[in-house]
Amino acid sequence: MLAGISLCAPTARSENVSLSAPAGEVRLTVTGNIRITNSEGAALLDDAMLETLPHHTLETSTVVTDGVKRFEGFLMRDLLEYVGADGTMVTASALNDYSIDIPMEDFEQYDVLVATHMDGERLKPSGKGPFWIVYPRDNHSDLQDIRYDYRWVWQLIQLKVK
Amino acid sequence: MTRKSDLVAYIVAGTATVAFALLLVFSLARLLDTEAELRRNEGDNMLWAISRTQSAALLFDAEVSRHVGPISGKSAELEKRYNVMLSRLNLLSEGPQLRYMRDLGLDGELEKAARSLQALEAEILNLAYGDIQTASSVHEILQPLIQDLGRAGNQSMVRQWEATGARLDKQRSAIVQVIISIVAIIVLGAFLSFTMLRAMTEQQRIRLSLLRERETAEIYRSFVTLVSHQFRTPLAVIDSAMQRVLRSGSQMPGEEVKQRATQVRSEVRGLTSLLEATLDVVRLEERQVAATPGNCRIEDLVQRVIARQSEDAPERVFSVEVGNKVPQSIVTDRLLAEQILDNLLSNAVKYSPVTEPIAVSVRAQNRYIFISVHDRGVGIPHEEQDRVFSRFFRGHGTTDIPGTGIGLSISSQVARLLGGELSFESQAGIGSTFTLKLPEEWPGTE
Repeated sequence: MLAGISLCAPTARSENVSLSAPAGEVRLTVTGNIRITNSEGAALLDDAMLETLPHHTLETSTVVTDGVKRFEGFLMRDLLEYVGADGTMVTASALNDYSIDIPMEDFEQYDVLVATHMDGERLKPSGKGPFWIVYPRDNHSDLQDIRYDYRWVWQLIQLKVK
Repeated sequence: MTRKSDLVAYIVAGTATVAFALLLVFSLARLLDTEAELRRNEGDNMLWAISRTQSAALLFDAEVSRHVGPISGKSAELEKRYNVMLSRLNLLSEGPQLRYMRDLGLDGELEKAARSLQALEAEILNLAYGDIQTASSVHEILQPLIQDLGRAGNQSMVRQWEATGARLDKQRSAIVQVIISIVAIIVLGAFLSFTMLRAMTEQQRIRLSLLRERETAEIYRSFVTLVSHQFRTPLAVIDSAMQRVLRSGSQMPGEEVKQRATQVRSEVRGLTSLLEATLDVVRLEERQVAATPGNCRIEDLVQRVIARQSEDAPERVFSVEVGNKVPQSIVTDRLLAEQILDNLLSNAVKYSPVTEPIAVSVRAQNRYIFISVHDRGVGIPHEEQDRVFSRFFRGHGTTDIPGTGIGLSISSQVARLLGGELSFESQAGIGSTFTLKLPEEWPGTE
């Protein structure tokens, strides 16, 4: 009932562009201040939708693994543009109840990857999947700092734009 | 001897420079070490990973129990807890975490738990109400794991605190070493700067003494030239007078002998005064001349000097003009002041035509009195004016006028001794004005 009323109300949300409903399993949910949605204030994204984002590869070492790993996925910047995000902060939440605020300027300043694959293998929920936020740590010495290490959210399932 | 001490100085300075550089490198290295050390924070991360794994195990165990019990849960939640559990176990089984767990002797347990859980995966994901057997199997796997992780957490904390303590000790000692090095660097730097300054001062001293040596050599050369010139004429006069006396023998009238003797004595007097003047210079140089201040009436001073000059040159005309602000008397050394004015007046007499008057004027300004002697004589050419007060200086074209070139040099020095100054203005062919400036009050210790 309430949802119906709010849909009819001539608010700023009237400019929202709708996104087709996910056909497959929802892997990532983006909520908060976004313009493009396919659910009540949220963009529910399946693999097929995420595969439309430009594919990127990044090779870097991480603080929890040995050696240089090859990550594949899409850029956080592209994802946020895809859902029409407008804000300064993104709260990233993980399957393991980890939740952290990341300034959105990180994604402008660096090519921050939402990794789907590591060394050619799909990240699984029993590992670091379904998604792992990966910073280009080896390319920027200022990212080699514990204040960036905690932004590497693995088992990422939800983003909230603020 | 000097060579040897030079060598020692070089060795000391060289060693100090090398030590300086080594200390700098050493403190830099220690600082870099410490900086790198500060970036290491492995322990914190491990404690966190262990505690999260323990919490994941507890939550998973609870979810499994709930699933088989009367309060049933959603299967999606069970799958999530299962995945998180495995994810945590996987995290502890790779990279730096694995090495840490191996150190704690827990790596085998973790791997075993992960394998056992994965073996039960199908049963876990399809867990149904009352499936107590699977639930107990899971519990049997998780229970010891939870205990192990608890112990590992404690151990990890202890290790972390120990490591932090040791790291702080190391950093503290590094900082102390760096501080000591910096103090040593400062001391060495001060030593090197001091050595360098001393060397520069020494060099300057040597340069000055060389300059003085050269000046002295120049003075002696001038002196020899002067002596040969100034002494030759009187000596020739004396020699010829004596020759006459010798040649004439007893035939020379007593009157002429007397005249010759007087002539010789006069020449000897001249030579003596020449020597006196030279000795004056030496005494002044060695500061053996001391001024004795006393009240001195200016009128008397000027009149006495003029009277003396008139005696020697009765044909000359002297005029005196005293400004109205001039005090009656000043405090100075009367004899030395007279000596200067004698010199100035006799110069005026010597270097101006007999027909020209000589004027003495006195004026006062700013607690100083200025006694000037004007002549209308030969003057001093512009290019020679710089050297007027230097010793043995004789003006160009004045060498046939008797003089030593010492008078003005002495006068100028004596004027300074009295706290005053000697200056002049002159134009070749027009005349000269020499001015003695004297303080009205005695200037103290000088």
